[in-house]
Amino acid sequence: MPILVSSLVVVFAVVEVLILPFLAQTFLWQEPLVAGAWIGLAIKTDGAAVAGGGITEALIMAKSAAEGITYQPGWILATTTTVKIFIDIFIGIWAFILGYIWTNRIDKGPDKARPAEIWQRFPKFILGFLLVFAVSLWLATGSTPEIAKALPAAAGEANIFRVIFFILTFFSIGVLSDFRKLWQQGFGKLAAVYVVSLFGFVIWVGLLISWLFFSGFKPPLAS
Amino acid sequence: MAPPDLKQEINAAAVEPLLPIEKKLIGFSLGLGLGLLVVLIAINHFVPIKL
Repeated sequence: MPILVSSLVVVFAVVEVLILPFLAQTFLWQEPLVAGAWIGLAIKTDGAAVAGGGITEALIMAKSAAEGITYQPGWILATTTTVKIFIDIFIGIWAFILGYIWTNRIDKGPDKARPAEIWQRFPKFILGFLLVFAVSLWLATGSTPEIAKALPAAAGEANIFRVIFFILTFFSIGVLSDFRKLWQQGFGKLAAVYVVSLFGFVIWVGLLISWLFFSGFKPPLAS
Repeated sequence: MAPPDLKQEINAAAVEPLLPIEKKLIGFSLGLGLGLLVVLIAINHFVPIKL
């Protein structure tokens, strides 16, 4: 069952990445940050949301450029990423609080949620991100001017790998998804529930929240 | 060992209605979320960010 649900989420995330950025370009191109936040709220899974934010940014910047408006790059994608990361953080905090209330106040059994579990369940690869960030920050601010000057080019080189691994991720999902098998195992019923939740609720609530917080704000114009 | 038939498993699963305490926690979570949303909208309105 968990595999089925995971497959469902990932397959839908891929479908969302293919559809929502084009809807954002058509209906939200005059509100680029609303579009970025909406993608972050609507697309499940972090990788797909960030990929969707990147596609949305490219589409909206192209449409804006055709209308004579050139925004600085990176703002729409950064909005998507920030919104998505904050959702992750708050889901983590709230899940722990509910787990703590449940095991310590309601269903008092031998298994209790303890603060140490935050560390035990913490995805340790994030420490790698923090380390790379700290090293990059030190190279940019605390090392010689020559190294600091070369850093944007180095980041650009690393970005190529990010794009390649993104493509490989979604290619692997496509290769490993056996739709006939998923369908035989009750995928259709779960997919119907997911479609109704997504298109009847999630994208509209996401749009409302994005509009409330980001409408009227535009990325800076490119000089 | 044969793989489990998930379709059968889903259809055979017993209906588990929400417990009153679960309903209470869901209501509390939604209420807190909506309350914080209103607070954030107010902060966003009275102290807007400047780009």
